[in-house]
Amino acid sequence: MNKTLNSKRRKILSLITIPAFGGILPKNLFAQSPKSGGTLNIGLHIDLLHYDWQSTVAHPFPHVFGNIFEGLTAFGKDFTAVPELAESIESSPDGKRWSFKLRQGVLFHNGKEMGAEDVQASIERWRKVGPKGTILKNLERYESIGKYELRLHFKETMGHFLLLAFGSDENKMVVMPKEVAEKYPEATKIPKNEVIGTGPFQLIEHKPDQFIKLKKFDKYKARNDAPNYQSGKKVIWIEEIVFWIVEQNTTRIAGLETGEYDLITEIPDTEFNRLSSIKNLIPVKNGPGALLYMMFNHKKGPTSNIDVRRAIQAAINPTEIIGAVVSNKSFGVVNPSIFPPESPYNNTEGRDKFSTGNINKAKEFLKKANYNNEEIKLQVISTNAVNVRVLTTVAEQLKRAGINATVVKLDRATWQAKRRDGEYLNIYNSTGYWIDPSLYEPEFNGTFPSTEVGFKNSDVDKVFAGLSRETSFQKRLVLGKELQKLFYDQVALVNMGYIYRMIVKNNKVMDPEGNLALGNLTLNGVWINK
Amino acid sequence: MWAYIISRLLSFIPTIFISVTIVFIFTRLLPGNPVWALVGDQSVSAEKIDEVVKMMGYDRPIFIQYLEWLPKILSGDLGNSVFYKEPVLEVILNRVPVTFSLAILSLIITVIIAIPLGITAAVHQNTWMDNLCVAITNVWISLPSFWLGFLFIILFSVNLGWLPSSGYRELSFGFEDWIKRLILPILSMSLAHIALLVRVTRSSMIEVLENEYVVTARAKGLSKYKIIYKHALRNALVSILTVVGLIFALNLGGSIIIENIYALPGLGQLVATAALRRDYAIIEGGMLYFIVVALFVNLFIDISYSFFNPRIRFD
Repeated sequence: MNKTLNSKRRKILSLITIPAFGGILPKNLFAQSPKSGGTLNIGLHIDLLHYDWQSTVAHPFPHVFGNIFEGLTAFGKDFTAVPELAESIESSPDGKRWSFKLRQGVLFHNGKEMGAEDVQASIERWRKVGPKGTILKNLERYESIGKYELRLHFKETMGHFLLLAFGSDENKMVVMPKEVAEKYPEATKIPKNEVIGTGPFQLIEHKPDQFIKLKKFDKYKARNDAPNYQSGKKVIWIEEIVFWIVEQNTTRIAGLETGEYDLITEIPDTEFNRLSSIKNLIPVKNGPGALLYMMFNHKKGPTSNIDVRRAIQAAINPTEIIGAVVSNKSFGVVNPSIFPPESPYNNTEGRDKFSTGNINKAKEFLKKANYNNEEIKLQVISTNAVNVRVLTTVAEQLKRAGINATVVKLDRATWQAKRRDGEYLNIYNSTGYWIDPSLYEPEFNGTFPSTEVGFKNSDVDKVFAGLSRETSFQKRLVLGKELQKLFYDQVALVNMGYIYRMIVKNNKVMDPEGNLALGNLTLNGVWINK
Repeated sequence: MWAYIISRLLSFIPTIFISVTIVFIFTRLLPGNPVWALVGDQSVSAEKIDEVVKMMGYDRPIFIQYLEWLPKILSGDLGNSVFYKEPVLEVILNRVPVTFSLAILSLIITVIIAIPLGITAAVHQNTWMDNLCVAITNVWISLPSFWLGFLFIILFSVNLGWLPSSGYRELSFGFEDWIKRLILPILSMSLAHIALLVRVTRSSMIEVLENEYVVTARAKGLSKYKIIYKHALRNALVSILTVVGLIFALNLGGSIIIENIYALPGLGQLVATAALRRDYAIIEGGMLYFIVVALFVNLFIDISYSFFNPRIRFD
């Protein structure tokens, strides 16, 4: 063999060997550089009802407004609260004074610089209209120190939970100009042209039932620290986002397959396998797990009797429920904790009372309660296919135990009204994300969904008070376990398992930070590979 | 003729009045009110909700609410939408281009395809052509429009890539973009209407073709074309036009199913969503629109009879 290869043979050899060795070379050797510009077309499952994120936990506010607004804090990758608009955060040793030093030079979309007065007005408004605003019930007064520092003074110790409550994207304490917050003190009244935040995108146009268009805010001021899910340095590559309102799942999926949409939301897990097999589509399992839960009328009717609730809790079999709800096993899990598997508070306290479909135990509780076959209505929103399947399965499980359970399907407006009605409500179900134990407080302090039906327990109140004061994670973990034990013992709710959502994107949508798998749509770092 | 038109227009007044009154009463009798939907997830006490309900006047007797509402409607004030926070007229007018585009184009396609097919079937009665036509129309009438809608999307958008799957683009986006997004919805909407109109045309034509004057015309040696189109069709048109009018009025009301499948922001979708949200003003304004449209379409069809059939007079 000729030891000296001529140049032609060398070229041919290099063509063969480079791909062959490609598998053992570092992946980032072949990684592409992000490309700036482009429009991201998103097929969104539901339209905005109004323009006031502070007053609601409903979708699609986190998906859309999470790109327009920012708060003092936001979720980090591990779902703890990290500073967003705050430069630094301090609390006094007794926890009664919290100081927020604000980042300077941050502009609202109307060109005004954000200051302490805007933050104060935003907090005050959120306190009044926000479903989670009740956590500020002990807020005594505000104190501005110059333009860029705001202090909150509390009557009682307020723990680190304050930061999570402010930053939780279910009902975020978003910062808006003082003028807007004061002009529209009532919920849902903020008009489209006053949707003004500090986020990397601004609202350009909303045509109801058609689309929502956002445009990159050129004067956006990013943080300097490393990207961290909803906070840190937000690197924005995309020029424009258009959310197309397409309610039908099949139509959204078709639009993704044809390339009309780059990303679609809320796709049933039944489509996972089929979509995975399509060359340029990538389904993304989206967490953290959402708790399927059942809530009661704790004040009136048969479910106000704790033994009836205990019977229901015993009769429920979450494994059957998850089996009925998800077809792809990776999208559902039975977890005997009121905190999702991803939460650092996930624990097994009170596991002996966790639902296991124990019919005999259920019957014992019913006997103790002197249950006399009273009808128990399970009310559900008729258009929510997941919740309908949940309650249909639950009804059968309860009937096995001898409970006269009836599923009642209602439209959303009637469902919302009836779940507040002490004379009507027995049971309703929903899904929720409770990463931190204190996040339960607004809905389990006797006021939600109304004082006529809400859960109220003095031992639980003490735990909530402790959680709101406590700053040590280990001590909060102990309190979280106690809360869980009490929830199971008093049957504040029934844990029916956890499910995961799915979004699907095409392979042109690049998400190097993996934010799309982490909860509500966060597009920081996302770019389009055209 | 003018006397007839005027008398019909005058008869609209009691019809509209009675219809909107019924709509108003039934809307107010539905459980719930817009406040429930507006309050949504907030931890609001029952007292606070009652306060807002009282402020908005929904706690008063229906009769009192009606007496306050009636003068406004009569003066053309349809009120504001609680959810869109805009005048109802504006909200409806924004949706009209979508619904009108669908309705008019669907009607044109329906008429162009159905009438010639129906005539062909009638003229070739009991032959393979007629039997094939009847069989096909039976199938089309049976197929649910929502199923057809999804089937067309999968076939023409996903598999063939010929047409977009959903959404609406105004004409300002360009004619091509506008029309491409309407083709599949129009097809889905029209097939059942085509089938119905074919059947009506066929049976009307068969009835007319059996008349003695048609036999006489044939005996006199008139061409087949003249017999069918000049004589028979004109007499059969009364039934055909009636059905065309019904189809058009239905189309102008919007198709909730088609609009939902194809994500079209039309009037059907608007009123259906308003009903779920208890947006009273939109429901009432939307129903008023449907009623007025139906009345005018029927009037137009009735007047058109005399153009096609001189024996029909409105003196």
